[in-house]
Amino acid sequence: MTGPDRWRLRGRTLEAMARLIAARGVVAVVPLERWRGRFGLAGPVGPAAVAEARQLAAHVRRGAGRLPFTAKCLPQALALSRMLRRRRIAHRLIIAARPDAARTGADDLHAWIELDGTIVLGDLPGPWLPLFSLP
Amino acid sequence: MTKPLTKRTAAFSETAIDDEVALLNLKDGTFFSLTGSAAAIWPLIDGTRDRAALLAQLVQVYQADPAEIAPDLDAFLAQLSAAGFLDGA
Repeated sequence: MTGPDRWRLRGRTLEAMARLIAARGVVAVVPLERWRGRFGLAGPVGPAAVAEARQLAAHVRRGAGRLPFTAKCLPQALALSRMLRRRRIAHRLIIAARPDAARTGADDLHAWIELDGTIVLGDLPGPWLPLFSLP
Repeated sequence: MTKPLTKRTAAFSETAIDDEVALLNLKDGTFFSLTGSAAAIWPLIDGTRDRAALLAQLVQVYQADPAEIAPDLDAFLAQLSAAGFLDGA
């Protein structure tokens, strides 16, 4: 890997960390109705977009691991959504819950990012009951 | 008949699976899980029934004393109203 490539990748991780910090603040203090219009993006999805989104998702996961706080699924999904929107990559942000029979009382809500049905961030074992998607 | 109860459908996102109705409050992101009698009442709130008609329907379905059902129904309607999901309550 060349020096410029390495710096570009570091820059993406730094961008992800900045987005994660902002997303954590959004989740903590801003009501859903105020932020829901700023995430997700409608449009066609090609194979190159999925590959790019997977790379960006890896930066979000890496960035989340370097922060001094825990960035759970929703801040991670919001962070990736903003990074994808910046690059005009269409995607959906899904918020879901475990069905009543599978609920444990911990982490029963989940969020993920998908492109044309392919989950690129937040692919956890289900079952999950989608409640809401953006867009 | 008083004003029928109607759902403010713009206030929530609704998904049903098995015997559960899951609601997400689109204002604040609060999650509601309706099971049992709450899940049974929810579809009856369809804009045609007021509280009295709802109670009469439940009495018929559950073959129960209205005095037993009314407090639970009122509490449930109050919860839905507080969440901003109902008009007419």
